[in-house]
Amino acid sequence: MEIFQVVGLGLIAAVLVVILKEEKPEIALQVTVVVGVIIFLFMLGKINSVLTVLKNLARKANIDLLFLTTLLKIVGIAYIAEFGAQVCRDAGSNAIASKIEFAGKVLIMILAVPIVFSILELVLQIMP
Amino acid sequence: MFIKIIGSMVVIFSASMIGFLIAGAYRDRPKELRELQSALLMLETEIGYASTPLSEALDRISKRTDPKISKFLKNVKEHLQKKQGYTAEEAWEKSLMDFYGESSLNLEDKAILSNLGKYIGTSGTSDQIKHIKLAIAQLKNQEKKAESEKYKNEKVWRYMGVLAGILFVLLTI
Amino acid sequence: MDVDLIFKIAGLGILISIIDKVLIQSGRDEQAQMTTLVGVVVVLLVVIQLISRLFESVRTMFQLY
Repeated sequence: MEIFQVVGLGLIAAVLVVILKEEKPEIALQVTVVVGVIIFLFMLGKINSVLTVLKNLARKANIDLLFLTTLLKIVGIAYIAEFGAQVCRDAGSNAIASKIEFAGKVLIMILAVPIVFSILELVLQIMP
Repeated sequence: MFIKIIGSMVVIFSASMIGFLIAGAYRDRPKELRELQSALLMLETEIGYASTPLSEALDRISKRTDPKISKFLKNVKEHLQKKQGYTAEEAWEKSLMDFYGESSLNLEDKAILSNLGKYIGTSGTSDQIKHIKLAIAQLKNQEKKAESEKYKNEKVWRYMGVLAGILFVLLTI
Repeated sequence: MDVDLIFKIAGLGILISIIDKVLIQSGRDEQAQMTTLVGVVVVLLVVIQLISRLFESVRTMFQLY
């Protein structure tokens, strides 16, 4: 089971971070980053299979693939923004973290504009 | 994997040895300077009060000092006794070269000793004693410096060898 | 899953803190500072490579261009 590997990795990394935090907080932070990245890369393969299932479903339901890719992009942006913000918050710079989150929200909004437009058009078509 | 482990061990071992060697030089220098001072002090009494000939005095002193210096003094004596036409200065200088290579002395210490060599066995008794006293004073000064350098460097080098080895292994593995 | 990277970085951190302590104890504060700086830069080089790998895979997975 992968979950045991991930949890074990996390525990070991936590111990290492506690050791390092006393002497060299800057390197402790980097250990945290590396653990996050490694766990995500580990999970990426699993996410991939979920994505293929989603794509198949979308094709069967005759949904425009544009919407699905937009959705995926939004998820990706959300994940990356969250990752960066968490690291910054861990390092104690809350201001930068909130700026990153702000940038993520703006970018997601921009991506969502076409979908919002198509919904509006749909509504206008339905309304006589 | 097995080769990796053996290679890392070799790297760490050799780096630690280099560190220990450099630390050893810092550790030995004050001791050698101290021994040299006592040897010169003995030489002074031999020349001043007993007025023994130089080669005999060197022979007597070399029996009572620590091995490295004893070897140096014996070398001087042998050069003198071979009767190859060496003056005392040349004999002193020649043996000093060998001694310098083996010891942990630095160039300044060597310069003090070779300065002394110019006067040993040549001028009058009081003059020689004056120069020996001068050399002892200079060596004492050097010893003080060496002592502070030892305090500053010995531990660092001992640690640094081992740590540099581990660092190299960690970076390249 | 390359776990050894975590151990490598943590080991570097511990080693650098020991070097730092030895250097400070023998009165070479500037060199200690330099070691810390160099250590952080070396670790950063490793970490940045990993982060670029993360970005690359997220980009291909979620079709962010």
